Amino acid sequence: MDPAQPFYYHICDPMQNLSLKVTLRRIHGGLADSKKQGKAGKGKQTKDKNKENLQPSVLEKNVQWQEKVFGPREIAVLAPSSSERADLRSPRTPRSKASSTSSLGDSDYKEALYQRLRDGFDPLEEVQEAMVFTYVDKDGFVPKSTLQPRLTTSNTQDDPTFNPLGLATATMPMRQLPKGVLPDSTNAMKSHLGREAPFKIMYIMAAVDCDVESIKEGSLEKNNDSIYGGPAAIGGPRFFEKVLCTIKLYSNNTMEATPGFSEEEPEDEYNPTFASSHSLQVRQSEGPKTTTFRFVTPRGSVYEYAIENRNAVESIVSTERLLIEETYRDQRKVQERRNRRGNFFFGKPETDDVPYFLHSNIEIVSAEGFGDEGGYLFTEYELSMPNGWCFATQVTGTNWGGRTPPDERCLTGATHLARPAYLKPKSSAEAGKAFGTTNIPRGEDTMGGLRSQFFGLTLFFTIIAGMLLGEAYMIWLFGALLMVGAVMGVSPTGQYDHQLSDPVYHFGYPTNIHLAAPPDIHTNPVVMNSAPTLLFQVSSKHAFQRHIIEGYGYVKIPTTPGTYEINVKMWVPRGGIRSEMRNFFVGGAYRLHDLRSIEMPSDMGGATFLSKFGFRTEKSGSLKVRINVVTHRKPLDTADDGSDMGNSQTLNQGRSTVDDILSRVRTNRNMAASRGGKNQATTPISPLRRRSQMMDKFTFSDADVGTQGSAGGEGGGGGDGGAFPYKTAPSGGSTADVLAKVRARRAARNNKGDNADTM
Amino acid sequence: MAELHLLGTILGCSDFKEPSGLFCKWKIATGESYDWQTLGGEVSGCTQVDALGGEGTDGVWDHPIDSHFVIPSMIGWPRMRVEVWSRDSGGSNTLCGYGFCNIPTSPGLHDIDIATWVPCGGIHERLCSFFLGMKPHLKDPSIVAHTRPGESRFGLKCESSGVVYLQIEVITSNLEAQGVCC
Amino acid sequence: MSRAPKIPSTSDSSFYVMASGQIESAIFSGNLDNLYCRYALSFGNDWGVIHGVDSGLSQIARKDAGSQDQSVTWNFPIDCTFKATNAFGWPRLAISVYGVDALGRDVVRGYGSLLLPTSPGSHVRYVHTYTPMSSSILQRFISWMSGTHPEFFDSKFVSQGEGREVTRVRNTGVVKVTVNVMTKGMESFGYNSGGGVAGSTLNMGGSGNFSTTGGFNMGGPATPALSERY
Repeated sequence: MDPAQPFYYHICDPMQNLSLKVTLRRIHGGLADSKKQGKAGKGKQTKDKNKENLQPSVLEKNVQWQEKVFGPREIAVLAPSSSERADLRSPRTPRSKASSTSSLGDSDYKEALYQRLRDGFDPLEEVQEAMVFTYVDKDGFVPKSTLQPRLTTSNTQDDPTFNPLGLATATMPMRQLPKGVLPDSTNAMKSHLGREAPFKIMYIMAAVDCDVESIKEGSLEKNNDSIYGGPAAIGGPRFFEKVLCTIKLYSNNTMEATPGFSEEEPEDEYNPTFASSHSLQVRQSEGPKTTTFRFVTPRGSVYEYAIENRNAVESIVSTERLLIEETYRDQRKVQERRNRRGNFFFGKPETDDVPYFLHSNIEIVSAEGFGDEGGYLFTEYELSMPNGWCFATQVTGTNWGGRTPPDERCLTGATHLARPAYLKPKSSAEAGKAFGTTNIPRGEDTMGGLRSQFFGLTLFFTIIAGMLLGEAYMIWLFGALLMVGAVMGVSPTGQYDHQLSDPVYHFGYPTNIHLAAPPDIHTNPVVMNSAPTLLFQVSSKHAFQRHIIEGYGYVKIPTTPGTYEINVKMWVPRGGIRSEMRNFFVGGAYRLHDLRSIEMPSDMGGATFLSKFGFRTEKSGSLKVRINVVTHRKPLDTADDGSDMGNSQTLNQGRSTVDDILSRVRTNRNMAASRGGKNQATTPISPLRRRSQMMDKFTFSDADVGTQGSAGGEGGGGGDGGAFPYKTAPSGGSTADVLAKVRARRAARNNKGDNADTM
Repeated sequence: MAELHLLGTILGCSDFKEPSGLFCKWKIATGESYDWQTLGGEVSGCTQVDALGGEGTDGVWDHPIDSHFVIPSMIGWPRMRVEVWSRDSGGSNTLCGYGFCNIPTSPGLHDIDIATWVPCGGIHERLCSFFLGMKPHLKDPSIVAHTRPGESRFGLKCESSGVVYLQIEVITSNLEAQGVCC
Repeated sequence: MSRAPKIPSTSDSSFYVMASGQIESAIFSGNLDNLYCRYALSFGNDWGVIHGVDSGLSQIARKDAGSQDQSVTWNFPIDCTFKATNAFGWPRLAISVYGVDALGRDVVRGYGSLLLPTSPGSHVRYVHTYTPMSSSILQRFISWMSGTHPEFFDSKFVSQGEGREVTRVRNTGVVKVTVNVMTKGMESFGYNSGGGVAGSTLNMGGSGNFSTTGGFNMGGPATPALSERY
C-alpha cells in the first residue's frame, strides 16, 4: 500500500463510532542515541548504556473521530509559563489572555491546559520523546506537502494560481495560517470550491525525536528557540512532526483516508495463498500481520506505524448479517412501492380468437421537398383495413376497467394548413455543436423549380431589352436590382434565405389507432402479410380557393413492435398541357377517385396481376411520419382478476426460500422414512436423524414401556409423560413412527390397566 | 402493475424567428380516459430562459425530465406537449410555437425533433403581432397533443416554426408479464 | 451447532449500475482557454454509491497552440457504481467548467448536465453548456470588469428541474463525454431498458455505439426493413 494513495470508504455507522488504534514503533535511532553518540565522539556504546534507552519502543494510542490530543508544540506553546503558573496558585485565577506568542490555537485549548494544571496534572509531563497526537478540523492545520504539490518533475516553482489541485484540497478555515502563504485568488477559488464540497478533516500525527528537556524549559520560559530549535548546527529542531494519516469526511458520507487503514496481510509475501505451519504459529501467538508504513526523520531515526480500525466488521458472519438486513430493507421498500402502484392492467385480449391487439401511436410530423408557391399545405389521410382486421374497441368482452376508451374509430383525418419554415442548415455532427442534425434538411445548392426559372428568364429578358433599347429606358436598372436582390437572397416571399434551404412544413398531427388482429393471422398465409395501410394525400390551398394536389403516398403499419420514423416518398400524377393549365388556374386536377388505388385498387376486376401502366406521375416531396407500434397478446399466466400473481410469487420465493427448502426437506425425509426401512439406506442420514434412530434403539420396547407406564402410576388418559424414559423427545423422529408408538403404548396400557383394575 | 420511467432532457431548440429569450413550457400529457398515476417526478414544468441568441445559434435549455408512471393500459400512452415562448427585455412573453411528440413505446434512447407551429391570422392580426407582439393563441392548448375523434384540424392556419430537441430514454417495468411487446 | 444465516437472493431487491467513462474535451465559443471542469453525480433517494467517487475536479487544460482544433482536452475519468431499488432518480452528471481569464481570475465558463445512459453499452454524449446572465447590461459590464460573474450557488442545480424558470442563461460551449454503462439485475427486477441481451444478468451492451445523432433505437425482436414505399 502506497502511503500517499488515498482510500475511500462509505460510512454506514455514525461517525462518532470511528475508533482507531495507532501503533508507533521505533526501529532505529532515537534522540538519546544520537545525543550520546555526539557527546562521546567516537561513541563507545557499551551494553550498559543501551539499557538507559528505556523509552518504550512501541507506542499505542486509541483515537476517536475529532478527538483532540495535544502535541509537544501545542503543549509547549499553550501551557502556562512559569510566571503564569505562579498566578494560578493565587486564590483568584485570572482568565487566560491570548498572548502574542500563541498565534496558533484557540483560547479553548489554553483553558483546557490551565484546567489540567489546576487539577494537578502538569501537561508538560506528557511530553515524551515520541508522541502520537492529532490536529482536528478547527485547528486549520495545513501540512506543507499540500501547499507545494509537485505533480511533475519540473523544477520551476509553479505559480500557485495554476495549481489549484493541491490547494483546493487544503482544509479550511485558514484563519491560523500566516498571511502571504497563499495568494488571494487561490483563497477565493478554494472557498468557492470548498463551499460546494465541504468536508471535515482530521490529521493523526506523530512527533518523534523530541528533545524533551529543552521543550519543557522553553515552555516554562516561553522561549521560542528552546521550543522550536534552530538550524541543525546549534542543536537542530527540537521535534519532528510527521503526518501519519489524513482522514477527510465528506458530506455525502464518504470518508477518505490517506493512507488507508491497515489490513491483514499474508505472512509470506511470496506465497500468500497457503500458510506454512510456522507462519500459522506466528499468527496464533502474535496476531496477524498488518500493513505498516515507515518514515525516516531528519536525524536518521527510522519509525514504523500502523493504523487499525478497531470497530471494523471482523467476522464473516456479522458481515453476512449486515448484508441480509440491507437486503430485507430493500425488499420491503420495493414491495411497498409495488403495493402503491396497484394490481390492474386493462385492455387485455381475453378471447383466443384475437391473437393480439395492435396499438399504434402515429404522428404526421412534417413535409419537405414541396415547393413554396405562397399557399398553405395540408395532409389528409385514410386508414384502409384489410379483411379480418377490426378496431380494438369493437372486440366484445375486453375489460377496459369500467371506462370507455376513447372511441377513436376514425378512419380519416386532416392536418391543419401550414405555411413553410426555412430551417438553417447545420454544421456537421462531428463537431457536436448542433442538436440532432440528421433530421434537418440540408440546403440544396441551387434554387429549384419555378422560382429560379422565373428569376433567370426575367434577368435574361431585362438584359436583352436593356442592351437593345439603351440607357434611356432604364430597364437595365430593373435587371440590376433583380440581380442584387438575387445575390442578397431576398425571395418573393420576403424571407431572408440564408443559404437557400428547402421549405419545411410542420404539421405535428397525432392520431392513435388501436386494432385487433384477425384470428387467422398466424395460420393463413394470405392474412399473414396483411396489415392496415395509411394512405396520404397532400394538397395545397391557394388564394381564390384553389386546391392543388401535391402528392400521394402510403405506408403499411408495421406489425412488429418498435419505433419507426418513415419518410413517405410522394408522387403526383401528371397529364398533358391542358390539365396542367387547368390545375394552375383552377386547381383540382389529378384527384384520385379512390385513395385505395394509391396502394392497390380495391376493384381489380378479376385480374391476377396489378398493372398501373399508363399512369404518369412525377416525383414530389416526402412526408415524415413517426409510428410507435406495440402488440398486446393475452398474457400467459394470469389469475382471473388480473392480479400481479407472477411477480409476487417470485418475491415470496426469494424471501421464503430458506424455510421452504428446509420444510420441504423435512417432509421428504419423513415421507421416505415412513415408507419403510429399506429406503433408509438410500436417503442420506443427518446426525440428528442418526441420534433419533439410536434413541429409538435404546428406548424400551412397546410392551416394556407399557408395563413401566402402568406400574409408574395412573395411566389416565393419553398421558405418556412417564412412557418415555428420556425427558427430551428425539427431534428427528418421524411423525408416523411416533404416532404408531403412542397408539401401541396406549393399547398396551389399556390392556394392562384392565388387568390392573381387575387386580 | 406495469410502470414506465421517462428519463431524458429537453436539450434546446433552433430556428425560431425570435432567437433570444426563448423558453419552453412542457407537459407530459397522458391518456384522457385512464388515470396514469404519477409515482414520482414532475409531469410539467418550465425551462430556463436562453437570453442571448442570434442567427445560427441554438437555444440551450438542458432541462431534465424524470417521470415515473403506472401504466393502466396501453391506450393513452403519454405524449410530450411543448409551447415555446420568447421573453423580451421588458418581461413580456410572446408565443413562438406549439408542438408535440409521442413518447416512444420501445425502451431505449430516442432523439426526437419536435416540429412546432404557431397559429397565424389574417392581415390585421399579423400587423398586431408585428407591432404589439400579440399573436393569436389556441383557446385550448391541449388539442396540440390530442385530436378528438371526428375532429379535423383543417381550417386552422398556421405558420411553421422552429424545432425543439428532446432526448428521452424509456424504461418499462413488467410489461412483458402483461403480454405486451414493445 | 449453529449455522450461518443464509443470505437471500438480492435479485428482486436491488439492481446495480456501473458507469465509467471520461469527460473528454470541450469547445467553448470565443476561443476560451485554460479551462478546468468539475463534475458531481446527483441521484434520487433510492440510489446509493457503493464504489467510486461521485465528484471530481480536473486539471487545467490549454488548447493546442499550433493546430486549427479549438478544443481543450481533459480526458478526466468518471467511475462510479450504484445500487438502486428504483429507476426513478437515475443519476445525472452535473458538469461545471471554469477557466482562468487573462487577468488570472477564476471565472465560470459553463454549466451543463447529462443523464447517465440507461442502456448498457458505450455512449458518446455532447453536453451543451450555459452560464447564468446578469439581469442588466450595466451588471454585465461590472461583472466583466471585476471578474465576478454570476454563478449558481449549488452546481447540482443544473441537474434538477425545479426553479429553472427564473434563470436567464446564455449558451457558451459544448463538452464531449463518453460513458460506458453496465447494469446487473435489471431484468430480474422487471426493467426493460433497451439494448443488451435479454436474459443475461450482466449486460455489457451488444448493439455497439449509440450516438446523439443516430436515429431511433429499434426495439423489438426483429428489425424490419420497413421504410418508404414506391
